[in-house]
Amino acid sequence: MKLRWISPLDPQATEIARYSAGLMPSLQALVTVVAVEDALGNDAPDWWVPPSDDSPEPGMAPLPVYHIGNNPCHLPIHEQSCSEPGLVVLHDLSLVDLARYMSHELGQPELWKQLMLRQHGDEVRGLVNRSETSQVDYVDMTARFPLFAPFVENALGIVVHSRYARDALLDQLPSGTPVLQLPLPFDGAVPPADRDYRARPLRFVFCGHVGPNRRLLEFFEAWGRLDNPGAIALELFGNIHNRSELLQYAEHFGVAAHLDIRGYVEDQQLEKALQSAHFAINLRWPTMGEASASQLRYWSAALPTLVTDVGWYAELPDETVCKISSRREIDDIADLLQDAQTSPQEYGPIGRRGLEYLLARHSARDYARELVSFATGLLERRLSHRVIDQQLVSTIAALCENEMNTALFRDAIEVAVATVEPDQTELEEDRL
Amino acid sequence: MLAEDLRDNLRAQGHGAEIMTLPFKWYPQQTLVNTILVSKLTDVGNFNGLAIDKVIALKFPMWLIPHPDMSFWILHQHRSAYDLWDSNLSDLAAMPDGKSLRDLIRREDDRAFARSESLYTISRNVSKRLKHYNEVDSQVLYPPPRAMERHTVEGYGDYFFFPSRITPIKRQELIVEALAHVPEPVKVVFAGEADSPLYLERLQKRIRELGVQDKVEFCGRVSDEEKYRLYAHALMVIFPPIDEDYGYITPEAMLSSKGVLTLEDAGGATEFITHEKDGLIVPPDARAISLALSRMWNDRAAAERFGANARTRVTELDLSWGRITRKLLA
Repeated sequence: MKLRWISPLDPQATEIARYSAGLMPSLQALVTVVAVEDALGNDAPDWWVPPSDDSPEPGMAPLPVYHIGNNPCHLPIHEQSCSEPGLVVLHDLSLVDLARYMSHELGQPELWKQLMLRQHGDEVRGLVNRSETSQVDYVDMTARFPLFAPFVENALGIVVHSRYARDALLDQLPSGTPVLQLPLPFDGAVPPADRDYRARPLRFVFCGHVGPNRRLLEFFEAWGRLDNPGAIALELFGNIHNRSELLQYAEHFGVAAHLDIRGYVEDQQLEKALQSAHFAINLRWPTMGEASASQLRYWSAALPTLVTDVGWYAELPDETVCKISSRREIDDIADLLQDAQTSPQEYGPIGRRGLEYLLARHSARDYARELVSFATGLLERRLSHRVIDQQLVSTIAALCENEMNTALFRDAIEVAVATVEPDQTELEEDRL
Repeated sequence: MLAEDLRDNLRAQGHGAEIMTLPFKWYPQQTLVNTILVSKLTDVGNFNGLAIDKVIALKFPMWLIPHPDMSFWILHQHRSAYDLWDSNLSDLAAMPDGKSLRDLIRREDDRAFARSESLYTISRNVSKRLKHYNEVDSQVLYPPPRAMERHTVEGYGDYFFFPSRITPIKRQELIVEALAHVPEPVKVVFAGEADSPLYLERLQKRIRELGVQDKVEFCGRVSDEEKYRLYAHALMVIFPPIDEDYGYITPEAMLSSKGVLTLEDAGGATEFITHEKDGLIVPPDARAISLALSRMWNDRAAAERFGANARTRVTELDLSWGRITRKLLA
């Protein structure tokens, strides 16, 4: 089997590219990856080794594997996935920002709303309209009604990285859609530093994009409640575009003196910062629903991490992270910060158990093996997807006055299904 | 042609018979699947209240038509899904989901053949493939060439006759390569249309490169009269296709009292010819072919002897429609 890997390419710029780069050696040990591309025409990355044998496999075109997340850079990847069916790896469950960007690019500002209504029905209409002017409603909409269906319509199968995402897909996609949940892979854990939790200040780190769902302001507020905020120090890493706003808030809560906005740094520097930190912050509310590559990185450094008790994070064993309730968020954070000062010895083991969990559950080699096995099954299904899902359905829909009234086409549907999906009955029997 | 002859012979025996056909376009892959579905959805149970008693299926995908009483007389299967799959001649292998489609075709064929106990083919070669790929037994019914009585012999002239469509699978190019190694001033007369003008151009370019223009003659498509004449005057007939199902050329040549030069991997032709008795069967190699051409050019007596034996052999085969229709209607 041969694969085409369509993903963001720069590991310094996106976690999905980093994931692709980390997984590629394990993947290439199992199958031929004939191309790695980003659908934008950029050069192939140096983390991919072109195969020595690029001769086509008889009667089996390479399977495209599309990586889609809630970021505008995924729009061309999504567009390509619409024209050629493949495996979609969904890195976020809620893709509303991508949908809004797509609406903008297509000059159809209402499109994303229509997509929301198509997936979730008329009950979301009010919330969708209000979300344009109310941040609270936007958060509520994103959390309760994740938008993903339009982005997996043409998928032969979907890989997700959380049970939360898997359940949502199985609940809302047509029955029989192949969905596989795999633990997000991680490769490259290094022996963690020996940390002294009696040291002061306790050093916290935060990495990544500073959006409202990363809950930094709530952290500032909780931090500000401490009698001695100087017992905590926080370093922020990543492409931070709202530096002055952040500083204003930090000053407002009285923690600015202990905040260090480092911004984007090279990987090695970040690694060093993780090794010297005591805690990481990885809060999300609302969650976009999927596993966090940053969390794997924090675990790899054996860092106890503050996470919001929702989505994928809620699925994690309690002893591997520090869970913060979304309902009493600020109180929970404040309690934890207080506790970290009085009982610091409790937290080192949490980080170490996180590292053990990472090593046991998130092996890139296992991930590659299961992905390839899933992809093999999808390739066998590709012809039936093209015939049934793409052609027959649209042909019959065009012939029907009422697309729900397909009784006249019963023979055609039954014969087509029995012809191109002969094993379906056997599969059903197997399931029973 | 075979279908028309079958229909005419059934009618001559007092049966009502019609040819039913569908345009068969096998690319792109979606079109091939659609054609399969059309066949499977076609209802031939009765027309205007008149029951159709029997369906005689000759070709894929028409044999996928559902009917309670079917006989198969298999001309050939969709070979891209079978013996050609591993060659470089399978268009299915170049399709994005060709392997799935190949499996689908094999599966549907298996189902269709399982519906009938009346399974015949036009040659041992086709039966052999059926056994190999579908694990079913079948009997051979050789189809008689049309107007057998019009084949005559008018001597053994100064040319080898190669009647066939001009296409890679018939291997005209191999014969041209062989001619380059033949020192004698032999001539090969090619009769038949080219499937593709591009292939004909390529072939003619190769002829020029090899400098064998004087040894070849292209007649294009010829009339029946011209064909009988070319058979009747030929020194010998050349028929070297790749694993041919049957090939009317062989019995036609034999009816014209002509030995046949064929190749070990030519398929159906080798069922009729016995090496050194009524023709020559040589390896598919230009030098081996050139030696055979030289030999027959220089040994006219052998050509005549092969021709006479061939005529005797084809007479013994009793190629007749009566036997065929009896079997198919049983």
